[in-house]
Amino acid sequence: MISDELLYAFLLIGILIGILINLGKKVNEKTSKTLNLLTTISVLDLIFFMAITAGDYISRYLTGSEGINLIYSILLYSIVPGFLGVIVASIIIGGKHGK
Amino acid sequence: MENRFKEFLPPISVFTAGLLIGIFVKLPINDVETIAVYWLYILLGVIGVVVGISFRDLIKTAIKGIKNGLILTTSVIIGDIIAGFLISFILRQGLNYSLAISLGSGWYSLVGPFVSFYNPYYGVIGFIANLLREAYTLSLFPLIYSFFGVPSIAMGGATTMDTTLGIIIRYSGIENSSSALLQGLIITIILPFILPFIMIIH
Repeated sequence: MISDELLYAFLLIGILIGILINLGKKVNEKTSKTLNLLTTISVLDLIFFMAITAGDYISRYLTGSEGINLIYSILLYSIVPGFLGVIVASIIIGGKHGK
Repeated sequence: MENRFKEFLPPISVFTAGLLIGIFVKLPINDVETIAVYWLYILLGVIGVVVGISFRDLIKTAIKGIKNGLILTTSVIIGDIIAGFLISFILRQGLNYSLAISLGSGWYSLVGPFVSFYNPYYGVIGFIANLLREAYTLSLFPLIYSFFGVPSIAMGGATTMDTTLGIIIRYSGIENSSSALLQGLIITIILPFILPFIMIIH
């Protein structure tokens, strides 16, 4: 179970460490590369374990015709709202504002 | 295209592998969830350092970040409401349940138990669909970002202030962190007030 207090404590401590590193002018290419690598590793691990959890929940409801309806509903509810949000934001913000 | 492919292939592969393992292999799921939570703590700590190191750049981009954050929040809510109406019509499900599940915005731990109070069947859908929305954002963000840019942050809904913040900063840059944080924060604050009102719709 996620503890919100612990979650934001980690974020705040990280921000404080980052500010101290910045003020101490210790930021160099090696620091950036290390942080980039650490972020990538933790993101990929998080995706992997979250996907296992989602897969386990789905497998519990995969049996029978009711299961198919349930999976169909889950797919629609998990994909459509997020993508519509992106499309609405693209219309309001206008075009591609990224790389 | 080759560089793009290199960026979004690892998250999608890892997501697919994890999903298949979850479906076909019986694992102690409580332990798996605990490991995921530990990785989330590590990720937030690392992201904190990245944000802290770049705080001067963050201050420079704060005003634009706030403006974009407000636009993204509005877009998330509009997108969720349209999706709720659309799915309710397609699946012939109650509008109140469809809107509540869609507006969940990836906050599965709130929507699942909340909707279960009214109907356990829709509670299960709300829980898994929003869990998957978070997992999709984690794995598909690099791909969606390469096509849509900043608007792709809207996909994360309420999760952009914590779980998906890391991947957003990793792929869209530190300058978008304030928009993502604001979007997640506003949705997290307003959702517990909106959901009870939606449940009285017929």
